[in-house]
Formats: sequence, structure tokens, C-alpha cells
Amino acid sequence: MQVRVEPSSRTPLYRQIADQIRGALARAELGPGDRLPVARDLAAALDVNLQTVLRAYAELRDEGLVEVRRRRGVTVVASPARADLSISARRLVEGARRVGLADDAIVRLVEAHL
Amino acid sequence: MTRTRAVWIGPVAGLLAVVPAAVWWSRLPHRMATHWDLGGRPDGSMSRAAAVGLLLGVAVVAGVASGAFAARRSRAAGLVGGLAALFAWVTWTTVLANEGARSWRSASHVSLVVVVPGVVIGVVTAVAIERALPRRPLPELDHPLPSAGLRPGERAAWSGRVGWTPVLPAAVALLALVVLAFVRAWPVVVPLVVVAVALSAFCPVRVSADRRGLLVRYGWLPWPVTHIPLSNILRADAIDLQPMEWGGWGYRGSRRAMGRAAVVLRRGPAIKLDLADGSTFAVTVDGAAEAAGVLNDLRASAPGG
Repeated sequence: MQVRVEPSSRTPLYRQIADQIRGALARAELGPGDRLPVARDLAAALDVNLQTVLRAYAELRDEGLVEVRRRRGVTVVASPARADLSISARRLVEGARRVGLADDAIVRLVEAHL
Repeated sequence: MTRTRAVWIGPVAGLLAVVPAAVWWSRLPHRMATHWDLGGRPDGSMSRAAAVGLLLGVAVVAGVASGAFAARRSRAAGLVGGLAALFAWVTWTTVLANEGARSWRSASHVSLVVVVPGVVIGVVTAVAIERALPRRPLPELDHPLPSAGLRPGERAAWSGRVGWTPVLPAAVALLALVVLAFVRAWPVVVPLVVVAVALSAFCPVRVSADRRGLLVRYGWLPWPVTHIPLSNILRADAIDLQPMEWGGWGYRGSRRAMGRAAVVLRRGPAIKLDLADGSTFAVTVDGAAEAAGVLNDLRASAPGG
């Protein structure tokens, strides 16, 4: 798996890291049961703050893509299709913001499709 | 600059043997002491011409040979040059021990310890030549150098693991079970179990490629780690590794002693690094081309790279 970040980009670093990992999961470079790099190690490799990597991992956990366990590290739980869905959700939110929808309007939009 | 230095160190070390022979030739006895017993007393002799000729000859011939090897960029230059320095030292000590003696039996006592500085001088000379030796230019690749298309300023961290199931530890554990099923031979079973556990501890080999260079970690233990800094990497390539060409499976070879080493856990895609110290390192891993590309791109954009 490759994680790339561009410090000069307007996208925050933690989001860039999370985006890259989501992409790797969707492309099946990592599958359920595989572990993500140790946060400290990835931070050193990218020359970013440890908190930045932890924030990216927390975002992935909140989306249900990975499981964070003490001592055992971060394990992938999502299938490639599930990771792809997360990417779609991310795009939906970004698209909705671009046309000026407020957060509760985005939630209502999704609910309307349920 | 360094090439001339590598070419001259050996011959100069060898020719240093000429100095004592020329200076004290007339003050040497016609038969010289050339061997001493453990107590330091002379117990063997040779004629002056044979003794000086032999010692001087070996030192000078080895020195000149070292220069010739260095001119051809051969790694043998170091070892042969070190030999020349050692013989120059032996020439000095032998001549000085015999200098002014009336017969070989009255030569100075020489203790075996005198060999130690000679060996040190030899090793230092060998290392100096090896350091100064210019590296052979890397052979051209028959394909473009792998690149990950990294933009300037972009950072990348590649991580991968060897696509390999713990076949070996499983096989050893199975063997232990088989033995146990037929005979309760604990002295056989226990070591087998220990070996299986030890092997599986090194099992998942994790590889990372980033601004720190290449890191290979064995198992989930913090040690050992193979770390090759980015600054030591001249070129990264992806190859189709055949275990038999690298000496089999496992950690094969030695970068220091043999100039190449490889972590081989299966056949197939592997990262191969050509290093600034003249050695080669390879590790089998899935996605080797991508990793090699990341290393090449980071190397190209590194300050001073």
C-alpha cells in the first residue's frame, strides 16, 4: 500500500492520508484481516505529526472500515466494496456542500432515498 | 583522485620494505635469523640474500599486484595490498632484529606479539584501499527505471508484506506432531516445537519504502531490522527473483562479506537495490515495482540526490 501526501495541498494532511487508505482498501490492496502500518511508523515515514495519522485512523474507524485495538494495532474489517461505498459517501457530501446544502439537508436527502 | 590513491597505496606499502634492506644491508650477518621460538630466541636462519630477497620479493610483488588489481577496479586489491603491508612490516622487524649482529644466533630476541601491529597495519591498508577503490559503473537497465510518478514536494510511504504463508514453521510443527504420534520422543519433539515457534516469530516480513529508505522487519518483534538509508541507494529496481540464483530461501548472503544479500521467502517479484557501497540487496515482496518507484522518486528529489 502506498500513502502519498502533498503538504502544499489545501486538503488537510489527515484527510489526505485517510483518502489514500480508503483508495487502497477499495482497490483490494489490503483486505479484511490485514493491518495498517503502525501509526508512529507511518508518521515517521511521511514526516508528519503522530496526531495527524491517529486522526486519519480515527476517521476510518468511525466509518467502520477499520478496527482499532490496543496493542494489536489497526485491522482492516471492510471489504473493497464497502470501502468503495465510503468513498462514494465522501463524494456525496462534498458534492452536496458544493451546491450549498447544509448538513441537516444532506441527512434529509439521504433519508429520502431510504 | 581516489582512483589514483587506490592504485598507489599497495605499491607504496610494498616498497616500504626496500628501505630497511637498503639502509642496513651491509650491517646484516651473512646468515640471518628468520625464525624465533616461543621464548623469543632465534631458532632458524637463512642466507642474507635469500631472507631479504624473499621478504622483499613478496612485499613488492604483492604491492605491485595490488596496484594492478586496483587499476582494474578489482576488489582483490585490498586483500593483496594488506598482504604487502604485512610483509613490509615483517621485513622491517626481521632486518632490525639482525642489524649489527655478528651471527644469526646473536640476533635480537623477537616475541610473537610483534605480529600484532603487522596484522593491524595490513588490515588498515586493506580497508584504505577498499575505501578508495572506485566502484564499477552500474550496468544499464534494459527497461526504464521504475517510477511511482511522485511530484516534487510530494511525500510517499509504501508498505508491504511478503505474500507468503508460514509454510516452513507449519511443516516443522507437523513433523513434531508426527513424531509425537508414533513415539513419545520428547528430546526430539521439544526442539522441533522451539524451531517452529522461532521460525513463525520471523514469519510476516514487512517492508517499508519511504524517506528513511528501505526497512525490512521480521515478524512482530522490534528486532532485527534491516535498514538501508535512502542516501545509500543508487538505484531501485523490480526483478523476478529466482531463489536458486540467490542461494536459496531465507536471509541469503552477506552485504559486507559477499557484496550481496537477499531476503527470499518465495520466488517472483522482488525489490533489488544497488547500493553506494558497491553491494546489492534484494527482498521478495508483492508490489515490488511500486516500492522501487517510490524509492527512485524520493531519491531523485532528496536534497543532494
